[in-house]
Amino acid sequence: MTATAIREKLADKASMASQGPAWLAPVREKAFSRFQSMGFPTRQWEAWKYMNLFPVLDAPFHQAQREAALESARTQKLSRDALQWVFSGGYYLSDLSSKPGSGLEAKPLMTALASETAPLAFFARDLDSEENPFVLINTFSFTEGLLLRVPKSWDNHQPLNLLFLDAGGAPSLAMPRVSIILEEGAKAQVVCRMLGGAGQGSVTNAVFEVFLEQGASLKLAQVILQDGPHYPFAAARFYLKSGSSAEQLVYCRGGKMTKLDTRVELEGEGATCRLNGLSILGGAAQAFHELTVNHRAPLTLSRQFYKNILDDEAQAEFNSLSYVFRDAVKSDTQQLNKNLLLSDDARVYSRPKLKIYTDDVSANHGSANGPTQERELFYLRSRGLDPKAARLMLAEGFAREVLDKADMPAAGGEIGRDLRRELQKMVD
Amino acid sequence: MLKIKQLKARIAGNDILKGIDLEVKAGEVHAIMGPNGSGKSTLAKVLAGDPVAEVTGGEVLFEGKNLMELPPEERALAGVFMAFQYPVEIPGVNNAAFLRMAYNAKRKAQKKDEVDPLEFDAILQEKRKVVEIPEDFLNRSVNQGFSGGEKKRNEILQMAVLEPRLAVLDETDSGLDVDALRIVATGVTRLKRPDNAMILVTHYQRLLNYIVPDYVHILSGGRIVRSGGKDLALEVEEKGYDWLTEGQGLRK
Repeated sequence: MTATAIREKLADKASMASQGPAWLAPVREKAFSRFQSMGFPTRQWEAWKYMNLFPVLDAPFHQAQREAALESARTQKLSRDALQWVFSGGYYLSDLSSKPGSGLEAKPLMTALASETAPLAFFARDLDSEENPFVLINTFSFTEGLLLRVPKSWDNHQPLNLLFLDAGGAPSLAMPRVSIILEEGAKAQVVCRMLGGAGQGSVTNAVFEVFLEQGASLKLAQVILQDGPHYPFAAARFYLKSGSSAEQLVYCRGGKMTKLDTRVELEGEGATCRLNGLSILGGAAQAFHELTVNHRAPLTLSRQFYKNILDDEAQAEFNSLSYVFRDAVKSDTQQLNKNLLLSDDARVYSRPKLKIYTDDVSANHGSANGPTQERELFYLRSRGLDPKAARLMLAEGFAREVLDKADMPAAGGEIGRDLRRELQKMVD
Repeated sequence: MLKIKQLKARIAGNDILKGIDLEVKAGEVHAIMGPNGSGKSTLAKVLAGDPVAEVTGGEVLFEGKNLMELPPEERALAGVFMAFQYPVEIPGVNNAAFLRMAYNAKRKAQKKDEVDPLEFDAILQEKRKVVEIPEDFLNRSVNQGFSGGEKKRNEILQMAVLEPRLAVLDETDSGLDVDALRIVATGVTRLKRPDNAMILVTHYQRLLNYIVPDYVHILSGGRIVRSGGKDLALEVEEKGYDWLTEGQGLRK
C-alpha cells in the first residue's frame, strides 16, 4: 500500500482534529472550510510564486510516534538550568520541559484551551482574513502546542527557551502551535530554536501567536539551524496593544526550504516592532521571508532589516509589505533588505512594498544586492589580509550588522559562532 | 628601496602613466605633485596593486623584488602601505578587530607569534596617540560614519600599527581642515624613521609645510616633468603648474 501524500491527507476532512473544548470545534470547521476554498498555494499566488511546493506536498504523510520522538529528544544535550520547553517531531514533551514558577504559566496548549469555556480572544483570531493555507491547516489539525503566559510583574533577564527538534527516522510532518501572551508591562526574552538534524528530513508547519498587552515588551529570537533536508515552515502572528514593543531576530541557516511568514498587527497607539533577519544559505538551500506589518493605530513604528548571504545555488526571498492604514497618523515605517551573493548561480528576490493610506507618515524602503564589493576587498588585501580572510571578514561584517542592530543577548553569541563556522566553509 | 623604471599604466582603457622613473631610498621623503589628471594617484594605485590600474609597461623593484608580480596582500606584507585618498567604509567590521587581523597577518609573514586581543589592545593604545584618535573609534565599524578627517586619521593609525617600510600617502591632505591636517601631518612625521621611506602624493604644497620632503617631483601628462628639492613645491605654490607643464608642451 502506498502512503497517502501530504497533499491528499490534509485535504481530507478526516485530518481535522477533534481534540479540545466545545468552542474549538467550530473554529476548526471554519479553518477547514476556508482552507478548502483556497486550496494549497500555487506558483500563481504572489506570496508563493518562487516556491516549488511539490517536494513537500507530494511527500508521503508520516507522523513521528510520540515514544520515538521522546527517545530522540532524550539523546540531545538539553540544558538542565534553562527555562525550556521542548518539542520533538511536533510533540510537546512535558517530561523534558521546565516547570516554571514566579507566576509564569506554561501549559500544553490543549490543556490550556480546555480550561476555557469560551473562545480565547486571541486564539486563531484572524481566521477570516488568513491568507496562508498552512496556518489554516495547523489551526484545524493541531493537537500539540504550548501556551506561555508571562505575568505583569515579569522582568526577568533569564531567557525563555522553546526548542523544536526533528524526531529523526523517516521524514515526518510536525504541526506545533505556540501561543505567547505578555501581560501588561511584562518584559521577556524568548529564544525559539528549530533544530533539524542530519537525518532524512522533516516538514514542520508551526504557528506562533504572540499577544502583547499594553506596554509589554518582547525580544524574540528565532534560530533555525538545519543540517539535513528539512522544510521548516513557520508563521508568526503578532498583536500589539498600545505602547508595547516586539523585537524579532530571525537567523536561518541550511535546510532545504524554509518559509517564514511574519505578520504584525500594530493595533495600539505607539506600538513598535523591529524585525531583523539573517539567512546564511549554501548548496541548494532556499529561504523565503514574507513579512506584513499593519500599522492600524497612530504613532506606530516599524523597522525591518533583513540580510541574506547566498552561496552556490541558494535562493532567498524578501517579500515585505508595510501597510499604513488611514488612522495610523504619524506612523513611521522602514524596510531594508540587503543581499550578498557569493556565487553567480545564487538568486535573490527582493520585494519591499509600501501601501500608505494617510498623509502624515514617514516611510521608506530600500534594497541592495550584489557580490562582494571589489573596493572593500582590495582595501582589506592592501592591509595584508589574504583574499580568503578578506572575504570572510567582509561577509561576517555584512552579517554582523544585523546582529548588532538586533541586540538579542540571549541568542547573539550562538548565532555569531554559527555564522562564522558557516561562512568559513563558504569562503574555503 | 624602490626603483621605478619607465612605468606605464592605464585606467579604464586610458593611458595615464607614460613612463615614470623614480628612485626612493630608505630615510627619504618624496613628494609627488601635479595638476589634476596628471597621474599622481594612479602611481599610488599601481604601487599598492589596485586592480583598477593596469600596468602596461616598465618595472617596479621594491627591495630587489618585482613588485608588479605580487598580489596586493603580499606587497603589504613586504612592507608597502598606501593611505587611501578615499578610505573604504566596511560596515559590521570592527576597527580594532580589523587592525589586529592586519597586524597578525604581518606577524605571521615575519614568522612571529600572533598577538591576542589583550596584547594587541596595549599596542593599539600606544599607536592611537600618534594621530590623537579617541578610543571609541576603535570599537566602531571600519570608517563607517567617519568624517573625512577621521577617515584619514584612521589611515595613519593603520600605518602606525603596520609600520611599513614604504608608505604611499595618496592625497591624504585633501578635504582636511587646518586642524585635521596638522594632526594627520604630525602623525605622519612621528612615523618617519631612517629605515623607512614615504611618498606623499599631493596637489597642494600645504602638507609639505608639516612634512618636509627631500625631493619634489612634478608629474604632468603621465611623466615626471621636473624634480627638485623642497623649494620646487614653494615655487609651484607661487606660480601654479602651468609654467612647468606649458613649457614641456605636455598640456593641451
